[in-house]
Amino acid sequence: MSELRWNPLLGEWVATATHRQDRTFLPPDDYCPLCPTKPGGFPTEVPESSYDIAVFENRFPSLRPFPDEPAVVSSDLCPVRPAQGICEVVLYSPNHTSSLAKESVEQIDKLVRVWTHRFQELGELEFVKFVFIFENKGEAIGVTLHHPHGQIYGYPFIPPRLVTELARCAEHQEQSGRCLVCDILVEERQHSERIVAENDSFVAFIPFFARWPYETHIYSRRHFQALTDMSRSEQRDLASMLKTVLAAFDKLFGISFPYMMVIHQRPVDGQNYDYYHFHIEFYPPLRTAKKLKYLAGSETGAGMFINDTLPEVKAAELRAHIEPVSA
Amino acid sequence: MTTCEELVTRRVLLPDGRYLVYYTFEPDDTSVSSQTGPAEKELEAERRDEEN
Repeated sequence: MSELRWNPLLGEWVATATHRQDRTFLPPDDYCPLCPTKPGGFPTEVPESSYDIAVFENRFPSLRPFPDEPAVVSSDLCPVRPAQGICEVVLYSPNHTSSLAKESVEQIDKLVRVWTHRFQELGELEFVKFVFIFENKGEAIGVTLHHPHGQIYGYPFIPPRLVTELARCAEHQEQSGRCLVCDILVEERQHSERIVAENDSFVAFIPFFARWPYETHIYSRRHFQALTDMSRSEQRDLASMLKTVLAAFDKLFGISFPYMMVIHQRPVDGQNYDYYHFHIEFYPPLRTAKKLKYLAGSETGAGMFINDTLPEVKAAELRAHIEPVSA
Repeated sequence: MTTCEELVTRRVLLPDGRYLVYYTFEPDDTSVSSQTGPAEKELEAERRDEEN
């Protein structure tokens, strides 16, 4: 059972998705549902014996293209609506033990192009207003399948975090005539101490206002709004920058580094978002090799993050592990 | 790195009605082409009719 319930206190939708309680949880490697189906083996989500990159509708979605009617009664105060939308799984590689960090720049470049295609295709669905591409990596984040994969949600509304970002960017544009993200990038590059890596098209840094110790942002140098606005060389530069940052993450503590990766781009509701600026954010949950940053009372109950570290120090740590990447 | 590959999609329906898209990359072009055949489109339309 799945539905969207309105929270009038925060002005946001909450999805109930009780069927997700039964989803596959950390299966043995031989029974990974995201591997290709081996001849004579058990049938996985992918019927063929190999693939390069594959995308499929999540078996346990919180949003569906054709959802059931809500099972609870709506009120004026607390409206309920069908959980319409789409949830996709993106398989980065047929190799079960790989990760995005371990993949070649060439394979990550293919993934960037697949993301672009999914953004375009899902953005054309009438009921989708925002295409959210993300990855949860590592048990520390709560992943239930280790096979390298990401997800895409097609929300039927602009999610709250993006509503805030869009409003801040629109306000800054109105007051200054400039893009807020461009201005942040100019300031970060002027100070440079929080810069982690740069290439011709993208800059990676731990922002002045980082909420997580190793929170890393990747901003495009050029002002554009979505994956579909990128040139072919920018796609390749993004792949290279992702590889650079992810490889440094893994070298930091000598482990496969857990993180949440999110892509922020313009909504697909037909409005004008020329003032917005495409970027990627990583939220790694580790504050040391063995200690997690928890979202506790202040973060969860009040919305104020307390970062126990200095972004300038953490950026220097990460920068020390940056190495040139090859295709 | 291969820089000029065409992104090709092949869309199939899984037994429970969900879709799966295979992406392959073939030499020559940089555009996206879809190999979704009429039969697959018909199957998907039928599925949507049933779901509605």
